[in-house]
Amino acid sequence: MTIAEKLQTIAEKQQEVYDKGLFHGEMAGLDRGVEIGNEQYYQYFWDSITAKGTRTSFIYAFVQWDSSIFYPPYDIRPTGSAASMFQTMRGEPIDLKSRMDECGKVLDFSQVTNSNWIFGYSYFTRLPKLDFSKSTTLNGAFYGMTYLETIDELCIKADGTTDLSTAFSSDTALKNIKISGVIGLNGLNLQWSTLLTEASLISIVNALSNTTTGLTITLPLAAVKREFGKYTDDGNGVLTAEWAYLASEHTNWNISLI
Amino acid sequence: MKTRKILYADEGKVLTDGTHYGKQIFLADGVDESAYHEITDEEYQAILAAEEAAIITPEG
Repeated sequence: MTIAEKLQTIAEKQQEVYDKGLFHGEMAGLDRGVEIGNEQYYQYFWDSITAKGTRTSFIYAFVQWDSSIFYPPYDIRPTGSAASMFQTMRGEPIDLKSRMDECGKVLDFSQVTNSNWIFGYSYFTRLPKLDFSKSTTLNGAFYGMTYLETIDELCIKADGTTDLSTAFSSDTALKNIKISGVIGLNGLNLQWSTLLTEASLISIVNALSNTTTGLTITLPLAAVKREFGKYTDDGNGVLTAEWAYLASEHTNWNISLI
Repeated sequence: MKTRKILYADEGKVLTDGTHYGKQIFLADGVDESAYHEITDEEYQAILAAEEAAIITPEG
C-alpha cells in the first residue's frame, strides 16, 4: 500500500468513526429528549388534571385509572364532596401510603364532607391515615376492596353521626384498621372481614358510641373466635373473659357475630 | 356488674330481626329477644346474594 493509499484509508476510517459517533450521539440525545419530553408531558398532564395543584374538587377524578400512572406531583387536598374519587382505580394493586410517600406528596381529606364510594371497588392494598372527621357519610367508601389489608387510621366524626352503611361490604382481605372518632349512625357491618386482628377488633368496639341506642354492629364470628377464643377440653370453643369485658362495655349496642 | 343476654343460633341456622343477622347475638340493654327468629343458612345466603345484586353504586 502506498502512502497515498494509507492516507486515503485513514481518511475513510476517520469518516466512519465520525459517522458512528454522530449516530450514537444523536440516538443518546434522542433518548434523553424523549425522556425529558415524557417528563414534561407527564407534568403537563398533572398540571391539567389538577390545575397546577390548585384543584379542590375531585369527584370521580380518578375513576378507572390504572394505578401505574398515579404518581401525583402535587399534594391532593379535596374539599366538599370527594365522592367516588378513587372508585374502580385498578391495575396492579398498590399500597397508597407508600405511593404517596414515594411521591413526597400528601393526601388530605380533612376538609371533605362527603366520602361516598370514595375508594369503592378499587385495588389498593393499604390506605394511609384517612382524616374523614368532617365527612357525614362514608357509604360504600371501601365497598368491594378485595385487596385491601390495611387502613392505617380511619378518622370519623367525633359525634357519632358518620354514616358507615355498606362502607366495608365484601372487604374479605381487611386485617388491620384503627378507628378514631365515634361509630354511631346506622351502625356498622364488618362481617366479610374474617382476618381482622385482635387490635383491630378492639379498636372498632372501643369506637362504638356510648350514648346511642337501637344500633347493631356486625362482626365476623371467625375473627372474634380466632382472636378471643380458647378451646376447652371437650373441644368446644368459648370466648374469653377479654371479649366478654369488651362486649360488656357497650351494652347499648347489639353485637352480632356471623 | 354488667350482664347481657346472648342468643345462639342452632346448627345450620342464622338469627335475624329482619335487618341484621348473626350466629351469636349479644343483645343490647332492653332489647326483646322475641324480635329475633331463625332462618336457615341457605335462606341467609340467598338474602346476601339479593342484597349484593341490589347494591346501587353512584353510577346506578
